[in-house]
Amino acid sequence: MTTHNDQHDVETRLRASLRERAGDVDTTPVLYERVQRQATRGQWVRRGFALAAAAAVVAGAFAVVPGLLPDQPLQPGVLEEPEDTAPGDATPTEEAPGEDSSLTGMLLEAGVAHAVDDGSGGSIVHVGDRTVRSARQVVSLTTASSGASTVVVAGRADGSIGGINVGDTGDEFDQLIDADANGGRAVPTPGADGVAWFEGTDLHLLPLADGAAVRVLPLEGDVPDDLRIEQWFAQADAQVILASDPDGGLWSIPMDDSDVFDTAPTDPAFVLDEAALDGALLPTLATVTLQPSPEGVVLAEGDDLRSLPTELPTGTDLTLTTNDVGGLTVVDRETGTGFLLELVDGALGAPVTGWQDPQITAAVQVVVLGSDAEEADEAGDRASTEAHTLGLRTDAPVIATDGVGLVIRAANGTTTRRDVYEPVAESEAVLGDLAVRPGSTPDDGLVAVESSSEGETSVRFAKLEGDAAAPVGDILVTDGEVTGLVWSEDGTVVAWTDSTGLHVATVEGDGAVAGEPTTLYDDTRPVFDWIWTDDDGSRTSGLLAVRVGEGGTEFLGVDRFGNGEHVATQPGGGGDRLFLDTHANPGAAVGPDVSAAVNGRVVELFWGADADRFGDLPDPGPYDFAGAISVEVSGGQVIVMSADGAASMVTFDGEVIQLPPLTDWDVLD
Amino acid sequence: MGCRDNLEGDPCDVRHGGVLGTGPTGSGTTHTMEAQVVGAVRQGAGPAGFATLYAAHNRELVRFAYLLTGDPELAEDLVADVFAKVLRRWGSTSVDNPQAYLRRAVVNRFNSKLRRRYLSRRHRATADGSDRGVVRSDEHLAERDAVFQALDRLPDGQRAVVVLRFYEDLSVAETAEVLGVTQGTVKSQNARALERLGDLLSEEGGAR
Repeated sequence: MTTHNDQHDVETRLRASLRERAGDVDTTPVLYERVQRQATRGQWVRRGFALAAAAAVVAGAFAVVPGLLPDQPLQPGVLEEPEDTAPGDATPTEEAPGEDSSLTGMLLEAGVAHAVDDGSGGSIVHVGDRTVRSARQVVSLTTASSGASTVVVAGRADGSIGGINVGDTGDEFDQLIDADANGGRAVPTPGADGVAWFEGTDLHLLPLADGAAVRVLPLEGDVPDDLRIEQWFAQADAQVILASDPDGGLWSIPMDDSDVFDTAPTDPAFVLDEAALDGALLPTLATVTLQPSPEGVVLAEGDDLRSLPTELPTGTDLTLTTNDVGGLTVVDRETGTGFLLELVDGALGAPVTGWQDPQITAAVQVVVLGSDAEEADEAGDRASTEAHTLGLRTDAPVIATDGVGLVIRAANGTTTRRDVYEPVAESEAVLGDLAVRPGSTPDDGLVAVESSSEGETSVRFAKLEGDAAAPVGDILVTDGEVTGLVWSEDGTVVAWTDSTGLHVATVEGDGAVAGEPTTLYDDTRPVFDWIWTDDDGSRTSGLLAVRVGEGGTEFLGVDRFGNGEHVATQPGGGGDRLFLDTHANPGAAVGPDVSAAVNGRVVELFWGADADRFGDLPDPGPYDFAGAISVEVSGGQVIVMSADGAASMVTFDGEVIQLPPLTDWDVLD
Repeated sequence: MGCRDNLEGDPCDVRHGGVLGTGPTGSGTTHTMEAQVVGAVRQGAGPAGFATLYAAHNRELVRFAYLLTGDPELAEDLVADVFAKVLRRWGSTSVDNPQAYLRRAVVNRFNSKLRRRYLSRRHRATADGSDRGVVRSDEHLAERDAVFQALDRLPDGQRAVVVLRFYEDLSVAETAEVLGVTQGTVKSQNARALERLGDLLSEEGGAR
């Protein structure tokens, strides 16, 4: 028993210890730097949180903390490429959110230029046969003509813009425009006689003429201050800039065709979804898939399969991007070799132009931009039924939470944000585990999501309906943090684990909970899958998969009676619980049929309950999943999340799509 | 020299405005400096506002987070997240008591499920410390501190209560407000924590 004197002694020692230990730690300037990076990184999902003010503070904070400024502050005009030690490169793995910066490719008059990550925060840019290094990550490449020479212009993740003459022999960028381009992206003018980018709400134009200065043209109207320029099209009687905002929305900005360099654009128009864009404003958008076949590789446009006129060996590690001549640039990520597919009569096909002895071996999904607007008109109905997307295609929409709201990445690659719990979020609530009811779609779905606020954790339900999402149904108050949240296959039961055990509840279509939740097991390890195992479809017997240790899986039996009551059972009628040592690699998880595990750079695939390894996903190229803590398999893709929240989607075809930092996600039907 | 002019690496010296640093709560100096911070915060979106807030509270907040977690890297994660969140909302949030706001935000973050992510990172952390935002003067000191080791064996809730009560010198009511629990819970958690610490220290003493 503890006496009063004892307690007083404990309190005295406790006070002394706490004060001494507090003095053990101190902060360094790196912390401030990190805060600014994190704040900037998170902006894309926080529309409405005073982006302008935050951006101003970021800029202003640098202004008052000179110790954090780059060693070589940028000055207007032409500068040397900064050293690799610039503070902006301190954390090379932290890229602009939503930016597929693994490769950019385009056609130059003098050859093909493309950029690949160098693995340390910079990029290697291939300009024809020349290799040029950039200490900063290149996220866009474009060209412009300056007199008799052609300049390759690289937009970098930090917003700066580098340039190099194609005809030069140097191996570093010799020009650097003092820019803070939104999204680090710059595009050429339609006449290739200048380069354009956005800084804040200003359109910046640099004519590629001797002595020309950057023109700054403010956008008129109510537009976000972080529009990223995507493309600049010339139509028959007009020019249009297409820009995207961090939430995935698209903006169409008409330009004065007579004097683009000096006339500020007016009437920017927000387009909620690119599918709603006027077809006349965009080139044809065609979804083309490269697939392996016994004959080699075929192109697939919908159900129309055609063999490529050039043999492409199947294999891995390719990236395909669109290029400025309406074709497809294919690049081997590791070697930098590749070739160009040109667009003929609105479709990919001959001729195929190679460079550098390509060793092309892959089958990946891509989206190809067509050549011009006229083809869009001619395409008519075809265009309206095809996926309209400016990004890589995915097999299924994904719904995710970043801890504050819900983010839906549609099948067509667009990302929309739905602030379901805004009132709760404003009071510091954090959304955690998320599970989508089977059968849900972005327009008609039910999501169970963990919400923690004011010391209370609960499971809540949200209804997805069109562009809206709203809390519905009952709130299941849990005992502490939820470490697993799943729906049964038939969408009738939700299960979760908290600090007291594993619980189940029957849920109606509107999120109402039927009866009282049942505590099934006192096991507090996270549940991550629920499979009904009865052959007759009666949904009376099933298995809950529980993650144990490093990737091992334990199955817990569950029976359901006619009255809706659930009870724990021993799988197989008795004995120990089924245990499946799935695979020892960290981050392993089991889907209904296919399981996956991360082993360094490779995602390994297994089949069935015996976890027979049947193959690996293609090598992810510059991506490394060694830090993965969570792997989920669903549909035709694997989603890998690392400990810092960075997430990647890997299709079974090997494409890697970087997702914004997430807390949890699930896949919609 | 004003704070704005002094923000270089080790930001300006207004850190003693917090109760987590060097001085006791409620001193005249504390009130004066805190008033300066509040004033800076109320400058709204002004660039000096956030820098001042950060300079005033980063160190105390990291120390607070360190005592909650026992891990400097985890403390760095928590504090960075909190300040980043504040920065994102800068200019759109009205805060009358920034110190209390930040402290509560750290506790909420500590209690949130995101901690799982932090802990996972902690287990696989390989950083050599050269790029850390939080550094430890002597990593062996804490290991030799029996009380601190015992503190590490308390449940999170009890640990948070004793840190707030015996380091922050908060009252039961203030502690309850920060943690978002009732005063009764604070009292019971505090009593259990002290009893448990007493037992652990007795065991430790007996083992010597």
